[in-house]
Amino acid sequence: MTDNFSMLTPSVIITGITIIVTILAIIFSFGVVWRTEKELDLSYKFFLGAIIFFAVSEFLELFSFAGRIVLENFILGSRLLFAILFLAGMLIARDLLRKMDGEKGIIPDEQE
Amino acid sequence: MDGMKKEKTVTANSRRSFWLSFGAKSTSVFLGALVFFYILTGSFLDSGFLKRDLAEKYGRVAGATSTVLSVKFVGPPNPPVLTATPICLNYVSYVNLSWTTDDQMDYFDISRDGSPLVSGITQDFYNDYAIDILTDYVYEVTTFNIAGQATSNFASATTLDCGTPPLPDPVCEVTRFDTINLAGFVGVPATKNRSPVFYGTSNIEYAIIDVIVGGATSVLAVTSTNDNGYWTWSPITPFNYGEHTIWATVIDPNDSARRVTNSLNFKIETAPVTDDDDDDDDDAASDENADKKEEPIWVPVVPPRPVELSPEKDPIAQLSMEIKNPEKIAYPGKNLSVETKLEVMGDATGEESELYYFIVDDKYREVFRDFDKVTIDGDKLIVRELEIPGLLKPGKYKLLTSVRYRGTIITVEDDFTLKEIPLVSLGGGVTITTGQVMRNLLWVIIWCSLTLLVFLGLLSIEYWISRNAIIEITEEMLSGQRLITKRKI
Repeated sequence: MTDNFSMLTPSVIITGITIIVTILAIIFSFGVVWRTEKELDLSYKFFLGAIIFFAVSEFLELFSFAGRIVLENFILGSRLLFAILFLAGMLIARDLLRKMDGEKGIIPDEQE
Repeated sequence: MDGMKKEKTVTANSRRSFWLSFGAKSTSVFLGALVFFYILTGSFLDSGFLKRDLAEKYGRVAGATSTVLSVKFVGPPNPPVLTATPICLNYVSYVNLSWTTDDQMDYFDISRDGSPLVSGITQDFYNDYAIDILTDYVYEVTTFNIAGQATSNFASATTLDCGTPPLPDPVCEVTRFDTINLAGFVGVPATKNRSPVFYGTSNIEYAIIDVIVGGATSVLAVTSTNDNGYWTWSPITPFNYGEHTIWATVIDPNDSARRVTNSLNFKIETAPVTDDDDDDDDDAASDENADKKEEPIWVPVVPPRPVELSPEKDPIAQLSMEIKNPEKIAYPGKNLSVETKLEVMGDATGEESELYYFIVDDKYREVFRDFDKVTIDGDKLIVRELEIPGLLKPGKYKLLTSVRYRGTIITVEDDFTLKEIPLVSLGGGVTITTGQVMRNLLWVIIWCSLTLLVFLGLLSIEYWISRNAIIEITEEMLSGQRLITKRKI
C-alpha cells in the first residue's frame, strides 16, 4: 500500500485528472451532438472528434517513453488531428454566429 | 469460645514478654560488646579513639566544655555578575557562562533571549552548546535562596564559526586477493587464476581507485568504492604468468589531493603439468581450449612490450569514459550512449588497437562485449551507441572500456542501472512495468472494467436524456427562444 501511495506524485495526479476530464468532455460533447442539428451539430461533431483525438494522444502518452519512436509519431499525429478538428469546429461555430449576427446568410430573427 | 479467646490472649502475652526480655537482653549484650570494643581499641590501638568517636557521633556537645549557638539570618541573595564568552574548542562552538556567587545563593536559573535555558543548577558556570553559529544570544542568570531571588545583568555573546574538522587521513587496504585473505598473510600471495579479484576497503565513500599493475602485465585501470568504502577490481584481460605488483590509489572525489596508495605483490602461477599419459590428447585439447579462452583479446601490431609502470612514473595515457544515458539508466534492447576519451601523454605511437567495451555484472562476470578499431595517433574522443542485449536481466552493471597502448592495458569503468522497459509511464518518472501489470493483473482488469463501465454508463445516461428531450435544438429554435440572439450594436 505504501508503494501505491508513493506513486501518487503530482505528475501522476495531474495525468489522472486530465484523463477523467477528457472522458467527461467526450461524454458531454456526445450529449450536445445528440441534441443539436445543422451547423451547431456539425461544429460540435468536430469538437467531439478533436477531443477524442486529444484523448487518444493522452492515452498513447501513457505508453510512450524514450525510445518508442513509433508511438511518439502516433502521439504527434493525434495532436495534429486534434488541432485541425478543433479549428474546423471553431470555424463552423464562428460561421453560425456570423449568420446570427447578420453579417452573412439568413438572420434567425427575420425568419420568425 | 471464651476459653479459646483466653488461651489466645495468654499466648500473645507470653510472646510479648518473651520479645521484651529478648530485646533487653540483646541491648545489654550490644552495649557490653561496644564497651569491650572501645576498651580493646583504646588499649591496643589508640587511647583517644573513644573521645574522638563520641565527639564525632554526638557533636561538639559531648567533648566541649561550653556550647556555642550561632544564629544566621538569611536575606535575599545578591545579584550575580554574569559573563558570557563565545568559545571554539576542537571545532565545537559554544558559549561559556560564568557568574559571581556567594554562600547565600542556593541554585540558579539561566534564561536565553528571555526564554528559560536551564534551571536548578548549583555550579557557578554553564556551557551552552545548543547554539547556531554566528548568532547573537542574550543571557541572564537568576539566583534563588529561601528568602528570595536576584537577577544578574544581561550578558550577550555572538557565537563563533569554528569551521569544520579536518577529514581523517585516507585509508586504502587490499584485504583479499582472489581466494587468499591477506589479513596476517606473510609472503607473496599466488594464484593460478589469471583473472583474480582484488578486494579492498577505504574510509572514503565513492572514492576513485586508480589501479596500476606492473610486472609481467601492465594495466592501468580506474574503479570506485561504494558508499561503504568497499571496492573490488578484476582485470578484464587475464594477467600474464609471473610476478606482478598492484598499486591501488584511493582518491577523494571531492579533493584530489587527499589520496593514499597501497601496493601488493602477487604471483600468477602456471597450472601444474599432469602425469596422466592416457589423457594426453584430451589434455592437449583442453589446454588448447583453455589457451583459446584465456588468449588475450588483442592481436597487437606492435609486440607487447609492457611499459614499466609505477605510481611515481607519469602515465603513458589517460582513458576516461562516461555513460550519457539520463541518470545512467538503460533498457534491454535499447542503446547505451558512451563517450570515451583517450588522452595520450607524449608522442603518440600511431599503433592500431581495439577499444573494447565490456558489460559486467556486480561479480565482474562478462555479459556483453563489443569493440571499435582505433588508431592511436593522438587524443581521441569516441562516441558510441552500444545496443544492450534484450535478454539481459534488470540490475546493476558496470561498463568497462579498455584499450591496449604500448603494451599496457588501460581500463576505466562506469556504473549503470538496467531497468525493465516500462509499459505505462504515468509522468514524473513514475512507471509501471509489464511485470508489475502481470503481478497485479486482477486489479488492472477490475479497474479497467470499472472505468469502462462508468464511461458507458455516463454515455448511456446522456443518450437517454437526449432521446427524451422535448424538442431537438437548432440554432433557429435557440434564437426563437431568445437563448441566443443577435448581438446588440
